[in-house]
Amino acid sequence: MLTHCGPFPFTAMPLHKPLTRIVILHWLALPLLLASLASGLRIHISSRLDDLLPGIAHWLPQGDVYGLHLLLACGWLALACAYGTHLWLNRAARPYSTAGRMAPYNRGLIHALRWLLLALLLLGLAIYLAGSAAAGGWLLWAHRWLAFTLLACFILHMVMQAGWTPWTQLRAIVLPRLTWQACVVTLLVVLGISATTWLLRPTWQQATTAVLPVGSIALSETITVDGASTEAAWQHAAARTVDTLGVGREQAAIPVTVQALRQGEVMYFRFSWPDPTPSLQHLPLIKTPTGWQIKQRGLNQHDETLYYEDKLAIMFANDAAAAGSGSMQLGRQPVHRAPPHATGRGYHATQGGGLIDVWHWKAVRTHGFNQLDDSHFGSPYPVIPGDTRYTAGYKSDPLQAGGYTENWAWPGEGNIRPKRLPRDPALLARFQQAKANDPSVYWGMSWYESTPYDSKDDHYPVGTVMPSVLWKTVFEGDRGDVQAAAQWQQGRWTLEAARGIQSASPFDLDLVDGLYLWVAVFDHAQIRHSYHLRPLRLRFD
Amino acid sequence: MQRLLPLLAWLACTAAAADESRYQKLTAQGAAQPPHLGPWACIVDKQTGLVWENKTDNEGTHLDTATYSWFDAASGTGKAKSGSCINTRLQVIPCDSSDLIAQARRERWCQRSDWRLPSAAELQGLLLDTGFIGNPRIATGFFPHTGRFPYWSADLRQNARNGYEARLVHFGSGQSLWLSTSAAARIRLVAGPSR
Amino acid sequence: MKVYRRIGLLCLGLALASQAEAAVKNVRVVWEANPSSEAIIGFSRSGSAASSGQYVKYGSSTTESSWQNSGAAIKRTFKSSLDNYFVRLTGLTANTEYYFRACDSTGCTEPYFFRTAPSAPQGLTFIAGGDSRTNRSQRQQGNRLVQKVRPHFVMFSGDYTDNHSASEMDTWLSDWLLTYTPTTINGVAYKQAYPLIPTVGNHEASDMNFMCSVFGVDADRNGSCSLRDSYYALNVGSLLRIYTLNTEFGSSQANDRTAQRNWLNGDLPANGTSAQWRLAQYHKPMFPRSSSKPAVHQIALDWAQVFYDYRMNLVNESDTHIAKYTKPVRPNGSDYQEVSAGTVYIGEGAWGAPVRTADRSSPWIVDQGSFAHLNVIQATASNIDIRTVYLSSEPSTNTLSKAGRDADPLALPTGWSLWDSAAVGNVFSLKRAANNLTELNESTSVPGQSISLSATRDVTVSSSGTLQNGNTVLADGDDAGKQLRALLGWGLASVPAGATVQSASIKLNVVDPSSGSYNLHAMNSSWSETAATYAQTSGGTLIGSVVPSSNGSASITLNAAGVAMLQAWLNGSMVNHGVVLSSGGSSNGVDFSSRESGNAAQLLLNFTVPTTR
Repeated sequence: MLTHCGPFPFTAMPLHKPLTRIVILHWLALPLLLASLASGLRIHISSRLDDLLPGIAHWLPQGDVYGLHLLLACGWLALACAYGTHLWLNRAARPYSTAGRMAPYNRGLIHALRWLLLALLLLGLAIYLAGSAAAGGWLLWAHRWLAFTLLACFILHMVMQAGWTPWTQLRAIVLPRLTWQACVVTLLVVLGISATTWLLRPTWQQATTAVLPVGSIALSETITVDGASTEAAWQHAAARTVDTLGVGREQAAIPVTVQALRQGEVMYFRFSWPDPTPSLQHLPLIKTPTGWQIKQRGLNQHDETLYYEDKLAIMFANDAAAAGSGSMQLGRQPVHRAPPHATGRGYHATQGGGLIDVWHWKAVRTHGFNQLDDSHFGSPYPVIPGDTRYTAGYKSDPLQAGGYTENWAWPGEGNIRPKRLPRDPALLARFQQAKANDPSVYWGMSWYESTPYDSKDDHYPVGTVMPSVLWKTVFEGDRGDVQAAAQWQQGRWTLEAARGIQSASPFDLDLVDGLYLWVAVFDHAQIRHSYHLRPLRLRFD
Repeated sequence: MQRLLPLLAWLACTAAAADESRYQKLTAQGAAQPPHLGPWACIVDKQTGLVWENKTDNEGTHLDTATYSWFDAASGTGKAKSGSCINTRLQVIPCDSSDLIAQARRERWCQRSDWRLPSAAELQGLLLDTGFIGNPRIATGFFPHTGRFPYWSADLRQNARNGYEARLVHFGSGQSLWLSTSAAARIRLVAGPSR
Repeated sequence: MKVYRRIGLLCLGLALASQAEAAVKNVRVVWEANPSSEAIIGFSRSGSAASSGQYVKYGSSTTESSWQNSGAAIKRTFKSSLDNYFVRLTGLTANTEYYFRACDSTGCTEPYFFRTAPSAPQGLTFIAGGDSRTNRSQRQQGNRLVQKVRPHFVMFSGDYTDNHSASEMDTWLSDWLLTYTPTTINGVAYKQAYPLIPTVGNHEASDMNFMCSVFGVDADRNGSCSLRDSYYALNVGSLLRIYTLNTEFGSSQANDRTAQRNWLNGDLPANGTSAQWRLAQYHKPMFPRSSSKPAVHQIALDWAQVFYDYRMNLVNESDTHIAKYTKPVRPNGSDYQEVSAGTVYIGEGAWGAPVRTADRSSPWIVDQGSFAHLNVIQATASNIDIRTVYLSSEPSTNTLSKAGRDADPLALPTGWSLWDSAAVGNVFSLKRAANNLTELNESTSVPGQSISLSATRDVTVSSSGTLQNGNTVLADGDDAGKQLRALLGWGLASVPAGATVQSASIKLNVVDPSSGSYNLHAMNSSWSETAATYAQTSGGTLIGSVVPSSNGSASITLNAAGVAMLQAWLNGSMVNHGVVLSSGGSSNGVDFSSRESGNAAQLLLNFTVPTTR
């Protein structure tokens, strides 16, 4: 609530210029405040996966809420500039409140609101520049709680103002007689600064984006994509660490170190992140007295958080817009008439036909393929009749053949019928003996080492565990464009990936100088991934 | 274009909703199955009353990748046993459309014994543009394991060389084409009276 | 003499003992370069047995005591678990048989032999094919067909297995042993091994270094495995220069892809003329004939111009699991253009993989079809003849003897079924044009023709002496204590004079199937529908067999004896007494339509008639 501390005397005469400015700024501040709080609350709910006030999520904005929040921040910036100018022009005025005997308290509130707004703006700016995980997530924490405090102060201020002189205050704000010239100038100034800031965002986004230098190596050097990173080139390649912030109440920060090298027509990437518990058990099946069941804790909501493989997603976009180049569509139903999202967190999709190239490494399902799952975010795809999971704009790139599949005829919470059993029952031995988070046991079976399930072959004792991942063969088609391999050693995953700088697929982006990159860590989670708002910009050295 | 997107999405969703209620899953024993449950062996098209064979990626009679030459055992028309399918003993064998029909009838798959090759028009009735070229043109939620490949229809004609050609419907392109009955292609059987 | 015999038996015993202890298996011979003087012998460690000191014993005579030991084999491990060992034999003599055993410190394998490439431009018979990844029984059928052809070498154009795992590759290598022809020489049982020229397929994309770690190819001779080992060229004498290329360099191997193109662009002009014919093999076709594949594979298409410019004659492609022949073509933008002299492309790999629909049509296609096959190619200085053999005809194919192969490098087995492709028949014959490109050999090629003849007489004869001549004909091993046999006969007057039978089959319209096996024999004496005896149905030559397991058409491909019988009928050297179908032991009878029903048994004849075009 940006406001002048002075009164709004009701008068039949037009207000003088300073008061006109104040009224206009109030008018602008009020919707900005409500929208900022609403969008901020949506972001909070989406990242913390909780709903402070039950049911409130239904009323919050959906879609590219990060973009909206940023747009509002531009408005606040303009408002702050205009208010600063107003203060300077009107520096002789004496502040006073009309809230009767509560005036000192109200004046204090107004001061608090002013400082809170400034702090929120500065914190927002700091988060924007340094990332949501900056200072161990404390900036975000402070931004969040100052926003809640602001909301409380604002409500109190309204109550005080309205409680003592309701009609006078309301009329002064809602039905003022303004000096039209001051009104126009103020509006123009605020809207002009906002619009200019918004329109210039590609420039300031780029200028404030961290750079990932991409060195060039000779064709004679050999880089083997194996996750071992033993090549000297990696020792000399520039590294940048991106602090990603997890979702959920803990919101643990996961730093991901990124390196890139280019060699002739090919680009190599190396990603490394800490994970004390390599998760290679992916929705295993267990034989119970009543039959086979899936070990899971959230699969039915497509939100498994325990029995799931580790994953890493890498995202490339031509636009530096925060939050995945504007591809995070928050809310339960951000896509018009599409099915609601199971967790209410939202979907990934671009707006206006853009394309974001997504590389999705999956520790178990793509193991042995020497590939990752080349995917993309596009405009929301139509709903396919009968499909049990809608993913909006997120899809794997087209596949001709190959890939992996699940070892069940149909998933469910109760008994399920496995799709296949191993040809040789001894194949399952290593899974029975595997310890939790054993980095050497990948919980999958080759399709060709298994046969269609037949109850006559199912003599496995109760308690037997069996992988649910069936590896067929390498991805053939656009989905297999990216070579990748990872290793877990001493508490860290290291993933190496390679792809041609130019791509022939319409679902990929060329890896060019100036491209933006984001990463997201899925720690044994199906959809809950850590994230960071601002990308790295590839700079070819 | 941006303004058109919501409209397109709405149209797509409306179409999807229509298809959602158009199809009904059936178990191999012919029992109705709710849309969100599985597995299922057949799909009823409530618009036409036809029952369609569901395919699977597991080896067996209904394997998705099995190919068949076109052959009518009753009249001896077409080319016998020039595709490659998998028999009930999981062996890869040469086979033709009449083999699959006979097997489905023998199994009384979904409690039906009137399995047959669909007409091209019936197959074309399944075509659905999902908006993604990586998908086959069909409601994949009900018809999984459909390939972006040609599928035989029952439509037959004689070619200039006195041989026979049958019509295929391509679930990748949506087009139809005629090929010699000796060609190998996929099949999705249908049960119910011909239209 | 007795002493010598005892020593001989002792040696044999020791050999057998050492053989039993050998911890190596899956011997293979690979050509990568200079096949007149070099060969790579590869073998694998057997199971989990400890094995050390691997080497090869070899010599150019069957006198094993004269054999020499190679140096220590190089060990290379595939996918962390399949240990392979390789010895590169050098300084060999051209066109010579080499006998060998693969050994480790505990013993040796059974003896094998292979023949080095001739240095002179003599005729060659070799096999080209690929895609053996899923249908193991069909793969084995193809391998046994190799064994029966006794080719000089085999070009394999990729997709060995499906998931390229160590266990799958191990199985593939053991199946490859089926290509070796058991051959007894001087009383010792050898196996003739055929050098393999391997290629990378897309199913090998997860580890393309298998070319080196499984087959021992070290194209750059740097002693280690790299992607450079996945493309190479070799001369088979001065007759052929064979290029093996890699279409599987994906986006992340763009540099290797460029390096390969640069190498090809340099090698073809420099070395292409060192042989009379230039051949290439690679996995993904430039223009796959099935719409289930992308219309164009650019990585291969990038080679089309240099192929044409530098006289590439014949290219074997794979991947789509169909059969095709193209006319001589040259590249024309993103397509081919038919030319009188150009490059001929064949393919596309179906050596045990699910066949796909050949549904892309182009004006430059001779013919295409969907069936499991491999190509038997014969090259001489002036001609190349290609026969596409149905893998399903392997059981009826006769094994060519070693003497037959030694006497004639172009000898072929009999009894197989060949693709009767449109316009060219069973043999796709090519010749070298004046500009050294390839043109169709129309002056000598004979067009294939076929004719379908309905039975003109058929009757069921019972062991009880009765005849049945209704709407069905029956055969049964036990019909209430009686045996039933079906007699069939056709008139051949409509077959053109001078016809040479290439293949033949008999098609029955089964109305009551049987799970049993039924045999077709030649009839040796005359009969009619009203006068036939059970006794005269015995003793004829076996010419085919069938398991009529389902209603509808059942086809019996005639074996070599059957084809010879038909030829003799046509030539007049044998009287056409028709054939008899009898139970192979089954008491589950079969009924099929008779001529009286209007759906008579058909005799399908594929034949050629010499013409002058």
